Amino acid sequence: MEALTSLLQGFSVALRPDNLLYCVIGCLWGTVVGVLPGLGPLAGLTLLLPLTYQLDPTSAVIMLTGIFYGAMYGGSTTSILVRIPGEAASIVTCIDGHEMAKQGRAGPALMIAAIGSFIGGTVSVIGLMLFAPPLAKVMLSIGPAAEFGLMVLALLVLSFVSGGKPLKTFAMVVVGLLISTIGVDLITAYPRFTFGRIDLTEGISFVAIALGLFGVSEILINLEEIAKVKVIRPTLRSLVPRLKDLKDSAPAIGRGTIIGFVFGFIPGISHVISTFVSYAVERKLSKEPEKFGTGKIEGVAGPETANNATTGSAMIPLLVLGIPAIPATAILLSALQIHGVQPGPELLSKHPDVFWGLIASMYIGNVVLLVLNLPLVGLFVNLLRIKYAYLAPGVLLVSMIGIYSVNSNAGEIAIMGVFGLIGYLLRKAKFDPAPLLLAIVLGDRMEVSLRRALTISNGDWWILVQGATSKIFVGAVILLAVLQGAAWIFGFRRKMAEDAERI
Amino acid sequence: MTVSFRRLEIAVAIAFILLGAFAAWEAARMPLGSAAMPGPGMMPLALGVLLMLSSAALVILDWKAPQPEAPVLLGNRQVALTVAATIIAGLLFERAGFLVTSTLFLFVMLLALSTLGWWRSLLASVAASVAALYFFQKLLGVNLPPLPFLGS
Repeated sequence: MEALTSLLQGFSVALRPDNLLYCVIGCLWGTVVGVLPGLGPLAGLTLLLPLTYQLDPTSAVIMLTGIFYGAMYGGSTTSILVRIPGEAASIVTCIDGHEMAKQGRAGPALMIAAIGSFIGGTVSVIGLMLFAPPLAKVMLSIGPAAEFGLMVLALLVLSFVSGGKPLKTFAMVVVGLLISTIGVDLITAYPRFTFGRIDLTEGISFVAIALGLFGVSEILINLEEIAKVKVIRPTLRSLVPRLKDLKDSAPAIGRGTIIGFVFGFIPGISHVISTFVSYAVERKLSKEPEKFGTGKIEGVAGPETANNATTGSAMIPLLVLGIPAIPATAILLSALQIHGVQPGPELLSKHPDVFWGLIASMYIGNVVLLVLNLPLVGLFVNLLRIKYAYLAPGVLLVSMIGIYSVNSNAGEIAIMGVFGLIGYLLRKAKFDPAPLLLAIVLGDRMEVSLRRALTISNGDWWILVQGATSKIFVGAVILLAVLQGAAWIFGFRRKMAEDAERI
Repeated sequence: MTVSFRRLEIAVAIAFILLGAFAAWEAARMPLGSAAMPGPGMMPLALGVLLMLSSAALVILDWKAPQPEAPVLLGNRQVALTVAATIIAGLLFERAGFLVTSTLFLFVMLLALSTLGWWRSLLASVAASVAALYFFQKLLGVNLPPLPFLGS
């Protein structure tokens, strides 16, 4: 009941004309970056982040979250119509979605993707609303030792679930933690790796690193790889799915919702993995598994639902623990911090308007996307006509303006360029930059909580495994290791690799 | 330019070993504290050593496992130019002001990537820069560096 009253209050915030406008702008911009190959939710978020500084925190976070789930919607459009995944979570949709389009069934594929995304997105917001407040209450009571355990757990999980070699992911996590130590030590105020430069005392700008590693490096890769695209155009009338399509998709949408929601909690590339798992599950349960890959609607419905269902659950670790589960929520975290709102267990009590306004706006955003996206699909497809020769300089210029507006420090533009090159090389060598980014975000807090815990225990390291909450985290690490083994046995990994190779 | 994937992977791992060594060496000169009460240098020292070890393991594993030599496309003229233009734009941004930097940046990029030619590239760069200045500074209130001869 309390949640319902708070939600109503949230709606009164989210339905304010200005917030509604920011929600629509966020959703539209999210769809645009989702549609455009080479611009994912991350680049979309970082590009608009600096422009939110003038807004109040609630409006800012409403707009930015809109970009996050809008991109999930947009990614499916290009996957289906062009066979280019607008963002990584839409890779699987290419398989059957584009086959459907080639058979003249682009309309139903788009429609089912939109309906699945809507259902997955909405159910996961309900989950967020139900799980977050009680979890926040539990988290309020944990001390620095358990907090340290939680961070280690998050980073370990990241090493487990990330796509590449675990050793590579581990190295990326360590590099990220090292970068997070640059600047003044938060406990003793001792300057570390600053080399006497004042502008390094607060560390290297997170936004510059994120934009470089993800935005600029993506552009560089696209400069080599973009080929001429052949777009299949659906007509508005063809968007109406047949009753059989709806019937076939319904179970896949249901399962995709659950898979997506569960995977959203896992740090790393959960939204991408959830789509592969959903596809594998649908194929396993199907009576005609051999037809997957030839335009089965379940192969679109399941993964598209799953990737949107992760958006709500991925917000739970961010809002309740202050731990971003995926790079996109890491950007949201930094946006909230810039606005003076610290996500974590105290968010609900200290900034209820931000929390409930955001939840309400996510409900509204899902409706906005469903209503706007389908009629505008033709318009979004036209975006694909913009030549990369014009798009790339434009995006880079907006990134520069965005970065400069954070601290009025032009050096950060150069840093963005350098990290763009680093990100490009890392991706070519198949080192995933996402763990590095998350480690930068978590590094400070991890070190501070460890040193605080040791101060409390007078230097006794056993404090880290004492206490009920710490034991839960240690147990979770073991459990995840077992689950990881089970996933290997069931062959999800193998299927993922097979599916990725087929594309 | 194409390089073998294995070589690239080993090169990145070696770069990480060097980074780890540098971090550990720098951290060792900071107050380390004790194992019970770590000082500011302890964490970076531990991380530097950990990075060296994990990257060394990567190099050894890569060296041992005979992989097929898959070639990787590594950069072309456009990639190199984009990186250079972005970094130089960062260095010029405050010194030359937004309008000049943006025009130069867009001009170089358009000339390299598009088929517009000199005059149309220049025209498009000036127009886009003025439009960006108006949109971001006037409408969104972002403070951009002024032209050096106009600014204070």
